[in-house]
Amino acid sequence: MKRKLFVVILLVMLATALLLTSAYAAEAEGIAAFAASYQSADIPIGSSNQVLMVGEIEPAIMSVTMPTYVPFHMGRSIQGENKVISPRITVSNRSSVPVSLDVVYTAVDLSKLDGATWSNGPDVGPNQIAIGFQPETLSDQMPVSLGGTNWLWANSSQDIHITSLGAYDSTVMYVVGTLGSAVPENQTFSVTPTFVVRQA
Amino acid sequence: MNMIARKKKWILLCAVCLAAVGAAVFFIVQRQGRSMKLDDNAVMGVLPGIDMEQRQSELQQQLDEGMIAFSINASPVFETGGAEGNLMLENPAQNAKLLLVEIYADATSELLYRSELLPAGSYIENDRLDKVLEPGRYPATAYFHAYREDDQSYIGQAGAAISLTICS
Repeated sequence: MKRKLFVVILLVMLATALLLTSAYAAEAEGIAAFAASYQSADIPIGSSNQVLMVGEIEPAIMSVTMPTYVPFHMGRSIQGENKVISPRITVSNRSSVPVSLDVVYTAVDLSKLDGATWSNGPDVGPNQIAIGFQPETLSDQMPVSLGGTNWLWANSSQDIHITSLGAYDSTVMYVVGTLGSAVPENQTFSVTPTFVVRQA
Repeated sequence: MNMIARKKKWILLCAVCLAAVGAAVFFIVQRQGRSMKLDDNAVMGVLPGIDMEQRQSELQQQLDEGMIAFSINASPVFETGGAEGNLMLENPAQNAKLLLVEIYADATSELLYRSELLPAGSYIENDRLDKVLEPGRYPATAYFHAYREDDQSYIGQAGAAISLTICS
């Protein structure tokens, strides 16, 4: 009886061992197959859902060089339509942001010019003055004519576009103007435009 | 003999007269020379209005003194109305001027921000506005006022149009 029981237990153990061996072999084959397939495929880069991508938006910084005031002289004896002696005004954009340059206000004081008034354009009366800005067309030469001038308005809000500059660009302009025959000479007057730069 | 002596006398008299006339002329010329003096109203230099290039050169010097360089963030962002935002105001070293920055709201002309003087070669990266704003976007203009470094006298101003964003 004891012997018979021993044989049965031995058979059960053998059967169990056989099953376990088969299962291990199948699993090993699966792993090997997976490994083979994994190694033969292309390895994806950067597509893992574990990579954290941090984006930062760079602020648009305007960086410019421009005048705070513009001195000029005016006289009827100057030849040509333009009666202004102007310095060479260089405006520079030192940033990667394209910008435009506008005049938003022009303070004008003609109190020392007896009875003289302001004109918003080139058609001046006998006792009138008109002033504006004109881009440089010939290198290092003041404009002689008044064509293409952006005329300034006196003592009122305005939005007069003067020039546009691309990234790392610069431009040159001059003060131009005209005056009537009755405007007294040898007196000073002031014209103070406020330049504002804005992202184009 | 008497004749010769009289001749000599005449020659001597003529020489004396000539000497006297010469001395008188010399004295008069000297006096006239002394009366020539420089006019107090005379100004050294070229008459203004004659040399156009010189006038333009003088104007150029004045203009160069008034040129201003600055940097600013075109779209500063503030997490809240009372938080710091990235204004990024810069007074570059080549400016050689002091800068003071004021920001005004375009819609109301209200002063939203005023800095103290920025020396050349300095910047303000982040700062709070002087007024607490509600969330939203505010078109504004930043004015850069330039002052001389030595006596802090005013030079002039230039502006930059910006847009302030208050997130919450």
